[in-house]
Amino acid sequence: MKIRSWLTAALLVAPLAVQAGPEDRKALFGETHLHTNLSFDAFIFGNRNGPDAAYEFAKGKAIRHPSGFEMKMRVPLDFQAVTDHAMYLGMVPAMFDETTAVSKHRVASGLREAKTASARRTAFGAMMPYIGQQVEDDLLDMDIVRSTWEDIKQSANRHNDPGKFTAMIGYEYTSSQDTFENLHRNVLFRGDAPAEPFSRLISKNPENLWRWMDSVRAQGMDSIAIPHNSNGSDGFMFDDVTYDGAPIDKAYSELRMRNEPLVEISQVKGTSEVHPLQSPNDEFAAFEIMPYQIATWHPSREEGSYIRDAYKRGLQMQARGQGNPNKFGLISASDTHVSAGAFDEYDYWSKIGLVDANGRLRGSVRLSWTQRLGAQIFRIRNWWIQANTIEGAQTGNPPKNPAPGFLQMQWSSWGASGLAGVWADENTRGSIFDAMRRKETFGTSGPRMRVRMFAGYGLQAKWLDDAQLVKKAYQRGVPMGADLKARKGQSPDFLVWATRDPGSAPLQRLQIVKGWVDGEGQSHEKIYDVACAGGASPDAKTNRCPDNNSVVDTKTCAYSADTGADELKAHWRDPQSNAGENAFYYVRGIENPTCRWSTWDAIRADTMPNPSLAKTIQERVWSSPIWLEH
Amino acid sequence: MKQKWVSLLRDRLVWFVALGLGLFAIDYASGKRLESRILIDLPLVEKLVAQWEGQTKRRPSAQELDALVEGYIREEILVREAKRLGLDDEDVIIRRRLAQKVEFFLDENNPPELPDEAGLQQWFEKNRASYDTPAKLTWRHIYASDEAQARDLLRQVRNGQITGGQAEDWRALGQPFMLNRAYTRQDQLEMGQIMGADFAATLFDAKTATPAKGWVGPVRSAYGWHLVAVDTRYETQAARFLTIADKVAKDWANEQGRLAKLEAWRELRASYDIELVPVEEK
Repeated sequence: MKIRSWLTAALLVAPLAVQAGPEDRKALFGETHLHTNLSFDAFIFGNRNGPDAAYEFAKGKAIRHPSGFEMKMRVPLDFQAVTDHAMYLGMVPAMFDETTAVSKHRVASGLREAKTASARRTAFGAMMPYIGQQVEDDLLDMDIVRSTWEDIKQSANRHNDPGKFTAMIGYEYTSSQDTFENLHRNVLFRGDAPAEPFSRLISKNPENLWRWMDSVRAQGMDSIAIPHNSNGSDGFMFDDVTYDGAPIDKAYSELRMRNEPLVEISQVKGTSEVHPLQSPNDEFAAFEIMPYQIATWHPSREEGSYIRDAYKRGLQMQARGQGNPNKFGLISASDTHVSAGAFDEYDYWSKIGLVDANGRLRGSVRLSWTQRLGAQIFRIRNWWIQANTIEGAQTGNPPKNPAPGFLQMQWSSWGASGLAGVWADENTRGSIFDAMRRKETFGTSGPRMRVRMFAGYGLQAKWLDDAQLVKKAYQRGVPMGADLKARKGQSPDFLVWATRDPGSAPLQRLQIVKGWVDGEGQSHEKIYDVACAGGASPDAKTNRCPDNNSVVDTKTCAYSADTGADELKAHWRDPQSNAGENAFYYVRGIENPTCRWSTWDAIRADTMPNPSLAKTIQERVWSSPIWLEH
Repeated sequence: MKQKWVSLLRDRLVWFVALGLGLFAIDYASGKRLESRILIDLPLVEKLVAQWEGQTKRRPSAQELDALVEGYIREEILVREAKRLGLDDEDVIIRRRLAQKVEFFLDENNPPELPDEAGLQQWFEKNRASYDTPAKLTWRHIYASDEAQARDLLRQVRNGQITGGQAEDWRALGQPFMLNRAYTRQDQLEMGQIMGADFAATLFDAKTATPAKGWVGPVRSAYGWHLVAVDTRYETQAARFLTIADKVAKDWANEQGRLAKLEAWRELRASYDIELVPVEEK
């Protein structure tokens, strides 16, 4: 009795501290994919900013781009992980330090002494066979790798400031199939990390990475891996078979999902949501498509490379008793190689340092007549860039340039993306990691939109105007990233809600993307607009919002100020939920159009924009799905 | 006539001039050859071979060696042609690299000796504004997506219709808001980044909101309209020299370095004449 009254008193004294529930979760913005000078390629691209500089940048300080200008965030980030390439971690800076043994190696002196751009290209080329594990390795010094890894961990620990700014420990596992079929993923740790990262030099098969993560988890060090650039994987990222070509089974699906709860949907090297060839009825599918395998001109197969397709295949595999290896949530990141992500179209520096430092190099600004003459004289397409840049592993033939006078490089198809969002209890390593694990995450193409989604039975439309909306939604439903158990004869309700970025354009529409598998094992998809700017309602037949007449002047980049929404909210009930059909639902929130970075580049250089590049962009946010499970 | 030519040939002065012209011609011709000459010497070939070995782990065959040398010749010719066309001059990256190197020299000033404590403190007083902790607010808000609704809410709150008695009652008012309903110790910059700069400027204006005033507004943000209550206002906190003397010393040294660089730059700038070409009126 006494204890109970004491408890009651305590509850009354500290109601907030005791009652803090999921409704108090905050949307935190961050970066989960960033390279510093400790990555072999970043150093060669001219980056000299280390992890400390990267964290200072995330906290709002200005740091320098390799070509000299200042880079600064519009609004500081809440969290960040430095994720350098594990293979050859810190080795290139060591090769440039003449006190190390490795600096005496022929490849090292070649790199160091290369004075011209093309000599640097040759020197970088000389290093590639070592990184690709194609030669006997006398260049790798694991003592350097381990001590660099220790430096990275210490930098994260120095900058980690619980409650204010979270610095997570992480690295990139840069694997591939036999040539350049990208299978890269970032490994993020909940807290501390082991003494040595697991790199592709140990095994190129991601299953071995997951087993290593399992074993490290058993020692108390939890981690997740986040794959990226599935768009450049030539269909291997979400293939129907394993790395070795074996059929996928339940054990594989569980191993993968235990270790890879999230996938990067958008980053500087394009967006991997959906390819327009796969979803011809999705008017918004042709968005920031990067069609090549990474670091090549080889086209990347669409099948198995894009996320919506992967979700559908996952449901099909589940129906066939193989488990669902593609039940992942969504997040975005930049993948910058200059220690600083470029998130804003109007303040864009791409990602590979000296190689894509300005509009001419990126193909957004027309070359001068002397530069074009050079290409004529030497009869080498992209002659100027070959004479000026240091990119190493470029294989395959570039497509015929549709815009004479402009360079066309792979980075012409890149963009100012993307930003990670997590719904975390607090701004700490543990809270952010746990949010990632439960997939309560979203990704944006750069701007700071926030999005929420709940699904359940009996979620009510009137809650949308109730200040207790979030509390009620958590009590009666499940948030993004979760499973909803299907109820017989009932259709699930959804509450979706998004707010704009005060520093970007207003919102145009909110959509729910649904995919499902029918009784025959066939997969389907359908897109519903559920909230429209200006209070308009979606058309009952087409499920589309009416045009909100927002326009961009591509000569000044001014956009309509009087149309678009500061926030959009909707209650939606699936009109077509059939018994026994498993489904996924995710939200796509779309901004009014604004100028793309390439248009900003052209305006600043006072030239016409490259006619082969999109002039405008409709920035967007994607939530993790909710899965309806029977 | 012929004899005149013969006598000319006998003239030593003529021979002297002819010889001079001949030498000049030879010099001219060989000079031109030097410009288009590419030297392939042993050290260069050794370097090419070493690079090759670095990649392949073996000596090049005679054929491969030929290709290596031919590749070097090709690169050298292309570079020289590029220079002849003046392409290096137009190249942004080359220009920037050169400029950076000189910037680097400008940076290389010896750090001046620190002043004594009194001197340092004097410098601190002059710059104290940048060490002060900025004013901060602990505040709450009620959100409404349109102004009329916000005014209506304000009326109800002021009439005491909705104060209830429970401290957290206000959280049930207005419309749901995706960001926080309450913020603790937030400075103007942080508030501006979240809610919009105008909103922050209004709230930090002491006339708008004070703890005594209770709910005020509505104030427009990037998302809509808000009733705002400031619970605590933390005025700007003056920094104390003794607690941050180390940081002040570091900043002082950085500042001197910056001034020295600026001075070096001014001298350099002064040694050039900058002419502005006027635009012709049409």
